Order: sequence, then C-alpha cells, then structure tokens
Amino acid sequence: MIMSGRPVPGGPSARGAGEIRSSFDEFYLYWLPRLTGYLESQTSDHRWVEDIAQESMLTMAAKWDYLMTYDKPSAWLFKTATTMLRRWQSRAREQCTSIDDMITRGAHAGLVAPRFESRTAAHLDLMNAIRTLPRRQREALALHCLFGFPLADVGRIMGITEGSAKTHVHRARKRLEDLLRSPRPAADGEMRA
Amino acid sequence: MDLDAALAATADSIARMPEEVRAVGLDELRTELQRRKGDDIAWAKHTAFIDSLELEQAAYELGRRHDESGDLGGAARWYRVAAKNDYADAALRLGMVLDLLADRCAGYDDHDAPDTRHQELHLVTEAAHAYSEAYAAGYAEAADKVDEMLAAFTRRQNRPPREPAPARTAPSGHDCSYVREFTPESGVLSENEIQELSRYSAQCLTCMKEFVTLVRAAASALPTGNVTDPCATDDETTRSTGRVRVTACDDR
Repeated sequence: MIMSGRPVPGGPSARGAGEIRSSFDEFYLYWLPRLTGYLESQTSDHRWVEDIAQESMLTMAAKWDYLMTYDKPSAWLFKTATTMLRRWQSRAREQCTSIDDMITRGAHAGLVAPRFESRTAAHLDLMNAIRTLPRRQREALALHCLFGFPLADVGRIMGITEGSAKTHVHRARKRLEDLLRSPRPAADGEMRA
Repeated sequence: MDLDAALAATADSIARMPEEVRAVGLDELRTELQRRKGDDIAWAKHTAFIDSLELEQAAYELGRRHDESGDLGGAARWYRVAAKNDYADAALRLGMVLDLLADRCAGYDDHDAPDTRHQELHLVTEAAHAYSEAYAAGYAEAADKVDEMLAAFTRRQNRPPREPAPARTAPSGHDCSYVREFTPESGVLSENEIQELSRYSAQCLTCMKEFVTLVRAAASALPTGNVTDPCATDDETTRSTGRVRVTACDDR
C-alpha cells in the first residue's frame, strides 16, 4: 500500500496471488468476497450489492476466455462494478429513491437489512465511516487501502489519472481519521452520494 | 486503533467473509448464466449491457477532445452524457465549460436582449448544478468554482446597460445636412463625388434619404423618347426613322 506504507493483509499486492487466471471458479472464490466488501463500502443498499456483484460476475463468466488474457482481470471486474454502481446511484439520486440519501436524511428505519450483524463493531464503524465519504474518495480509499490495488490501477478503474487517485486517497484518509476520532463516525449532515 | 490497523482488520474480515454473506453463490451464478444463454432476449440484453460499459468513457473522451479544440458547445454536450452517469470528473468539467459559455454569452453585443440574458441564466444554473454534483462526488475545488461563477454573474447583472454604438464617421441625427448641402466643384456631380456621397449615406439615414432624392431628381432630368444624334447624316436619320416606323407597323 503506497499511501500508508503498510501492506494490506487481504490485498492482492500483499498476497502476491491477486491475479488468478487458472479457472473462473478460483477467480470467483477469491474475488467475490472482495467485490462484495467493496460494494458494501460504497452503498448501504444491499439489493444493489447483490445485483451488481451478480451482474459483474456474470459478465466476467460470459467473457472469461477473453478476460483471462488480461494482465489484471480483477481490475476489469471492479471497473464494471464501479460503472454499474455509479449508473444506479445516479439514477436513484435523480428519482429520489436512493437509500443512501434516505440514510443521510435519517429516514432509513427498516430499510437496511441486518446483513452486518455477524461482523465486529470495529468493522461496522469503519464501513459506516467510509460510506460517509464523498463518492470518489470512498471508491479510491476502498480500492487502494482495503483491496490493495496500486494507484495506477485505481485510476484506471475510476477513469481518472493516477495523480487524481492519489489525491482522493489522501483526502479520504484525512477525513476518515477525523471521523474515527470523533465519537460519532457517521456524523449527521455529512455530504453523501 | 490507528487507521491503517483498522483498514487492515477490515480487509481481513472481508477476505474471510462467510459464504452465506456473499452476494451470490457460484451455483446460482452458473444457473443464471445458462438461463440467459438459453433465452435469446435475455442474452441480447446481457451482451448489450456489456457493450454499453464503455459509453461513459467514450462520451468523456469526446468531451475532452471538443474542449481542447475550443468547441465548448460540443464539449458540454458530451460531458453532459458522461456526467449523467457520474463518470470520473465529468461533472466538474461540465460545470467549467458551462461557466465559460455563460461568460462568453454575456460578452455578446446583444447581451442586454432578454433572450441572451435568459440563455446566460440557464447556463449559470446548469453549471451550478454540475458543480454541486462534482462537490458531492469529492471535488472540493467545485465549491470555489461555483462561488467565483456566481460572483462574476452578479457583476455582469449589475453593470449598466451598454450605450448604443455611435456612428463611425457621420452623425445619425435628423439635422445632418451633408448630402443636402453638398456643392459639386464643377456644378455637376462627378463620378468620384457620387461615390463619396454614397459612402457617406451608407452611415447616415437622413443623408441616405437625401441621396436617394438626389439620384431620383437626376434621373428624372434625363431626356426621354428617341434621341437624335446631331452628328448623324440625313441617310442615317431616315434609316433610323424608318426603323421606328417599321417597328410601329409591326406593332399594329
């Protein structure tokens, strides 16, 4: 991990086995939890998490013979998921049906399924804090700091330059540190997607 | 716990995610893929979706190219497409292009016309919306941009209306008598003098009317009917008269 100087235990760069091309099943087993975690760090809407993860993996499966020749098929997977999530979030914001927006406004009672109940409190706090970040910052932070993608790949996935990706990660880390220091990580009135 | 440790713990937790919490199972995925492959419409939709994945990027690149070539209208058009799907920094770039277009619109000669003002207001409103989207996406500089744009817009709105452009060389009032009082050097207007009056009249409505009157008067003073050449011989005169007569006979 470039920004912090420490490797991420679950990240591909740390494990050295991030790119699995031997079979789609192995790729799926390695990357699906990470893709699910990435999407959970971006939205509170679990319908989207499930649908986007499924569609992205289906796309991957349908084009596996072609995509396995890529240097980083996982980057393609995350790019597809990011594109879909942006489209859906954008449409939901226009139609005022975004659960993320409802959570920001405090009108979310009963909307969020108890998916995280089995996780630790620290994990939940961090995921909640990441979701309060602006969209580009949380995308960059999750890709780089949680899943260990190098900044160049983060830029490619997000459609921005490496320098912009670095700026987003830097801003996200600074803001996240402030959020985690404060007693309420998901402060009311934070700007959300 | 510091941030790096918290991130590492979360990454570990995600990597060890139990199967029941995962978004979709492998068997479920295989079944769905087979179902789509067996259904022509579902498969067509699926492939169309895959093909559409790069549309936003293509629109963004087109916007960049138009932007770099100075075609702000074209750039705004393509940035709109990319920003609609929240691609990269398209919203920020759209705001900047619309801001420039509004500024350019305000610089037109007919800026005080209602249509131009309405167009400028529309551009500023759309730019403000694009900047707010960019700010929400994490581009903090969009806040400064929108402040600068609104300040410039307020300055433009408060500036006094422009004075009508003065005539370049000739007065345009009713008292202008340049053509009326023009006296030809030789008593008859020469070709150069006619051209000078014509040029002057093109810039003064009063003088234009005078000039038209002058030309009409000159035209009406010309002799009408058959003009006999005083130098012509008798034969030529007879032939000429004869021709007229023949023509007259033909007419009958």
